[in-house]
Amino acid sequence: MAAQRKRDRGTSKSPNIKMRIVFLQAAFGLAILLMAVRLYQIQINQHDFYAQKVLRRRKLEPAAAKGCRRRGSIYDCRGRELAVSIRVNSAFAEPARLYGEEPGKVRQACMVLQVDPEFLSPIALKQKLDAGQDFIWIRRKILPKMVEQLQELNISGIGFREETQRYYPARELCAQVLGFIGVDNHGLEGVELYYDHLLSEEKKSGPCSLILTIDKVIQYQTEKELLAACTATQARAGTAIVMEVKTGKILAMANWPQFNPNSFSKYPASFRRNRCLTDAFEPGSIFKIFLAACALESGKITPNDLIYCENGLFQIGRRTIRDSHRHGWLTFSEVIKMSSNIGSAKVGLSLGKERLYNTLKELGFGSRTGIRLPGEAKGIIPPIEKWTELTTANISFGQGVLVTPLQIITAVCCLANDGWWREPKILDGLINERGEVVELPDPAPIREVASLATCRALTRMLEGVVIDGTGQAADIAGYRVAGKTGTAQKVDPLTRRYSQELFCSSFIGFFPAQAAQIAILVTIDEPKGEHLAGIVAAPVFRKIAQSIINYLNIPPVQKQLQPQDSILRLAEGKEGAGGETVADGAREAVGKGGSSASSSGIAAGGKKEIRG
Amino acid sequence: MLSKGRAGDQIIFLIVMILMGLGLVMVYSASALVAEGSRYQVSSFYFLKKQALYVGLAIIVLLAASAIPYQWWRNKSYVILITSFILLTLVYIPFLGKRAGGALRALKLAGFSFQPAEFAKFALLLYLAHFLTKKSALIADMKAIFLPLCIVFSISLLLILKQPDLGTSVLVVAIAIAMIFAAGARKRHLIGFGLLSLIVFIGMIRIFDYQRQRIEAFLDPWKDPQGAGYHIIQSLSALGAGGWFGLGLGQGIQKRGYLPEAHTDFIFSVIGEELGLVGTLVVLALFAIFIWRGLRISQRSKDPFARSLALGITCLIGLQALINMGVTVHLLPTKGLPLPFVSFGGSSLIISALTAGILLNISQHT
Repeated sequence: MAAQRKRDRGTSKSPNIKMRIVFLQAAFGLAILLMAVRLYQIQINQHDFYAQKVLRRRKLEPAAAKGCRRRGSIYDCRGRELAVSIRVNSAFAEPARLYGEEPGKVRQACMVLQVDPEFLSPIALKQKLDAGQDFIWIRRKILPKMVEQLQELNISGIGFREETQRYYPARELCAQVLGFIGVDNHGLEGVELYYDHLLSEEKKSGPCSLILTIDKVIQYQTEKELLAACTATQARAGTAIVMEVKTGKILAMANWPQFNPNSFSKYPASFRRNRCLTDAFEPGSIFKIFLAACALESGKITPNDLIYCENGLFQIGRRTIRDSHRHGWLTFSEVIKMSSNIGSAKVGLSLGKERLYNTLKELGFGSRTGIRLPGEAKGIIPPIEKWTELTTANISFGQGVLVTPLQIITAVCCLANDGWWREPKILDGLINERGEVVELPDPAPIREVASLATCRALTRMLEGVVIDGTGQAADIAGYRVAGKTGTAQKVDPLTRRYSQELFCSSFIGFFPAQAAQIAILVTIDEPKGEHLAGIVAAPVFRKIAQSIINYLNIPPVQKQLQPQDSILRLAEGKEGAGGETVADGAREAVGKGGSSASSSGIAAGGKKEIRG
Repeated sequence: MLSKGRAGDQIIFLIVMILMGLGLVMVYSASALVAEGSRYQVSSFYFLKKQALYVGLAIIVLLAASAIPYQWWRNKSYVILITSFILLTLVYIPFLGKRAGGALRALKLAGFSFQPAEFAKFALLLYLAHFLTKKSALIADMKAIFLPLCIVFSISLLLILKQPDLGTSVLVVAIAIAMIFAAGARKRHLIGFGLLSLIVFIGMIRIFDYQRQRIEAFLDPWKDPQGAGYHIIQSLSALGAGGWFGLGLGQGIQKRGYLPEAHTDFIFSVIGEELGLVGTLVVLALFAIFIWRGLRISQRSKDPFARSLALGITCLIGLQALINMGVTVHLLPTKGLPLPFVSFGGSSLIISALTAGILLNISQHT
């Protein structure tokens, strides 16, 4: 049987075996086909699922991070750095890879990074793995030294990712204007917030850099003087703004208290806000400038018109308006010069509420100036329907309104210049994604508030304030300075009445008065002890102005006349209160280079008296 | 090479050359970063240089083997089998291995170590081809064929399992079944032999805990993605991320420490990640053509020994490739078999080249 079978096999072997090889070929073919189908299924059908899993890892790779873009820088108007982004490394761990490393080495790495070793202990890693974490930051933004030390340890599973760190090289300088950015590299305050869309590294076409109107040197001087004044008077807060009169460019915008944006989180929010535009306050006597502008523009009142100041007590309805010094008859110029509340109230009442309201609105009070910075306050001008006589009288000397320092200086620049109101400007230009500098046009004049003649007359009145009025501490030898003090009583939050102890002292001024270039506003909130603006705020103005004069090389009126100028000053002192017009005229004469200062001054004064 | 006046199968020769060339490129891509990593701390060219040397050696071996008439091997099959047993024994019996340290080092040719298991595959294949030819008249007789076969295979398998290397054992048994099948054994004998092997393997899996873990990981890799399922998930991620055309040569992410054994067992995943479906299908096609040509050589051979040997060699290369790829695509549990001609590793490359050379020689005689 067996032999028979063997023989059968033998004869039928050849085709049989060929068939068997064909069978094997078919089996292989099937396996290969299955393989191909499976590959298609993984690589094409499930591609998205795996790609998303894997490509996420690519961002961890330092090689991929090499192309990381930096947030745009912020420069001052002369290209000096105010905010820059630098590259730093952050250390991360991949638990899956770190799990197999020696615990001793990992512990060492933790020591280098100054983190708790338990954070990366095998148990902690196991937990993280079980939780599905394949990526954890160990420490963000580490020192280069740490990177080197870690690289020496050579641990797989600890890697570095390049990130950018915002750095403000000038620390506190201009901090409230610049603002700062959060951990996600988006602006949280100031320019960083307002222009985040331009600065951001996520911007598709690439980040832009900004050029501000701020001048770092002027900003520094301004902050220095403000700081000195605020600490000396133990003030609650203070602001100072320097503006270029003709263009509305903000050259400096200082706030006290200061903060360092490199470590912004350590400071309370009150330190970080830009009070110059977020905080509206009752301006007090500074506001009389705008009353004067309104009065002169109306043509109803001239600087030499006489006003009776009621000897310091003036009754409107049930309220009494007081002056700090008793005055009898004063010219309008003197009312401003001596900062008489009663005189101002009477002028305001004679102008009527509509006219005053409209002028204030035209000067931009009660609405935002439109500065390209976040958080600007509107301030409050009461709606005209609610104005009583008392409201009109109060507003005439700066009570019952809320305005921001920025609104005041913008309005003053309008009047110091040509009577046209312009938006303040903070962004001078930008460096676009291609590295080209794009200069932005200066703000266009928006509306005419006052005529050129009004502006000239007003300037002359304000010069008087500095020459022999309340603002004498603001005077700068050799320069014509115009300005106005303001010592506003503050409402005591406890009694809800005007306090006798809480004041906001401020001074606004501009120079050279004959062709104003620079305007400076200083406000000092709640100075302790001496609170009169002429003593607290005016000297700050003078110091800032002096440094700007030196820095910008602004020429004095006429250098050789300076001795005469000081003689004049003596004369003014003798002449006392009545000497305003004289001095005013004399100054004008000096400005024209007149040879006989005193005689022409008297003549000018006399002429004016005749006209009055 | 052309002793009989006939050219060998040039297509097979070409495929082997392409695969080895691709292997060089991919080994460099997969190993460059790992080489510089903390595990090896060598130059990024370390693995490339070694592999280049292996490829050089492999080409010499291939050409030499294709020049040696295949009949020459038939006489040596016993010697080679016994040598392979000795080598396996030397390495895997611990106290002997220790004492035989000098002998083992002698195996290191020019500083390269050699895996006896790779050599054992070839030895068993050769022996099987010889044995099946010798006993071709008795192919239907169970006692005459299966008993000696079982004894030889048991020894060999035990030695391999001691490593432990389940992949090689499965491969060898699969090749044996294919060869016996092609030699014309009765179907029920084959089924019996297959069942027996299956029982043995199930027993092995039961005995060795790590094998059970591998099987469990195969059944559900996502159950323990950081543990037993890690390899397969990383491999699938690499392949899946590749898409149609891949991330680009050298651009792979998974090889940067995520995919273990990227330059050896999982080189196919790296190919898939960097060259996409196009790359993997080309590799698959190359092996498919190799298998087709190999089986054709076997089919056309008039000499039963040549027929059996060619079939065995084709199965050795083809099955190994399919098993390796099957693991990376999650069709098979993790095995630890290299991709012939492509994966990094000298032993595998040289044995593959040797067998391919023999196949080429057989092709000259068809």
